[in-house]
Amino acid sequence: MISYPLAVVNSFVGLGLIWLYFHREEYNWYPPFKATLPAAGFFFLSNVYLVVAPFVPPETPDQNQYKSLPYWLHCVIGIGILAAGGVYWLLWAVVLPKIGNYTLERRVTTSSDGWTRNVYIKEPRLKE
Amino acid sequence: MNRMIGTGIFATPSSIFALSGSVGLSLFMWVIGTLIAASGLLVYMEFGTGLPRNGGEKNYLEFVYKKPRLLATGVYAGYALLLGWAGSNSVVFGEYILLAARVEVNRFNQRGVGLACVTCAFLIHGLALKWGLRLQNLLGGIKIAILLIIIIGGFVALGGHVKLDEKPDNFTDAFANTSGSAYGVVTALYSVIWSYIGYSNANYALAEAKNPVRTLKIAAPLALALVAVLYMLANIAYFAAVPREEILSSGRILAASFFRNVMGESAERALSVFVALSAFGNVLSVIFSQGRIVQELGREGILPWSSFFASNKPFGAPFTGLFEHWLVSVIIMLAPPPGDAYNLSEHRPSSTPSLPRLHPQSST
Repeated sequence: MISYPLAVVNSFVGLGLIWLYFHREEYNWYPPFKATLPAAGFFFLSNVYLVVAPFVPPETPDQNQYKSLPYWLHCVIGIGILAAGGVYWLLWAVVLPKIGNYTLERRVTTSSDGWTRNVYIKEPRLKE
Repeated sequence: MNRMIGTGIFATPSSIFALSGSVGLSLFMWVIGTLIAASGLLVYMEFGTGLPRNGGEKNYLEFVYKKPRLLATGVYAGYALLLGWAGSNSVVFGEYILLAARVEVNRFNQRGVGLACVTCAFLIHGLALKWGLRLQNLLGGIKIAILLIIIIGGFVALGGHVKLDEKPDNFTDAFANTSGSAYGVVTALYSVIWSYIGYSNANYALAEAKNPVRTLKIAAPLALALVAVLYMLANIAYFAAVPREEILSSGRILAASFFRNVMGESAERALSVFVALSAFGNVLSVIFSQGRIVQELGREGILPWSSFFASNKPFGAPFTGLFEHWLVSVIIMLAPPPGDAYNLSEHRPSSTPSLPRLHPQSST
């Protein structure tokens, strides 16, 4: 179950690198090491396979990983966990600011041990 | 390298074999899985050298998927916070320790020992960072030593020296009984990749490495190549020393069956302790990485109580981030009832429910 969302995340990581290859200037992406396009493409496709393939039903019921649960359950829960993050984002960054009429502004603060971190401050939206 | 070798190699070959049906396809799955892990390593290396910060793929997703603002971070937060990665290795630890102690494994003692294991790992990393890393490296050394013992034992077994009445004969007609259904193949592939899971771990603590680019460029590929060779040899060793039926029924304690067949029963018990220790090493490294991801999310400022999770207090380690991961791992380990729900909460469910198992819960 844990490895399923990882395959989803890795698909996006792979796709992201392919995207960077075609938008190099825009992102100013010139790292000291290059994975090359075939490697990124293979990684992307194999993870897409890992995301999609578990939904193909097993040929015989005894291959099912569970005795009584549907064979695709861990995939759905995995996606649900990612979706839960999306719902949180929707509430925190979209819905609540709209209701409270503010925007989230990022401030960088330095803590006493020297690490920097971001703080989001609620800025009241100006009337136009 | 320590982080790359999961305890998978001591356990998963059994379920991969069960899913693929034959020695030939089983080894072939390991090759494919290795290729996927290698391409993943290259991708993570490029991102890691381009964005050398703590936190791994969270940074990469944020960097690429900028719009809508903060969505990538939010989705990733759900994924990082709600899954307890340290749980499954803790249970492996419990199983092997009980095996060595000759105690019957049941639902409660297995999880109890697992709980002690993950709690220890959390306290060591949270309170004494330096000692945690030292211990982690020591246990990694033990793990490699066991793998080498397995491989050498495998060659001995190939030469015909096994403590069995009949020498296992798994290599003639290596592709016999290949089942290869789409579902079986993909499930087996997941297990193989899980065995390589550590390839991205180095990326999570990059800001703490002395020379991140160099570390990634040289150490990571070298480690992967070595691990790949060790894995293949270990698989061959298992097939050389453990008969087909026994592999299928051994589940998570395959390595123990191997030791018994090659070196006898007392060796089985001694080596089980070492396998348990290496599982503990994995729990240490997983909780180390995940704690840092939680901390990084806190630094990003998007979580409730962000400053709490972002802090390095009170002992110069991300104590609160580690704590969050410990908590989720414990819940996932202890909460589900046995059976399907328990299999589901593990990283990969049991693969061979139709076969008799030594321990009803021994699923990885």
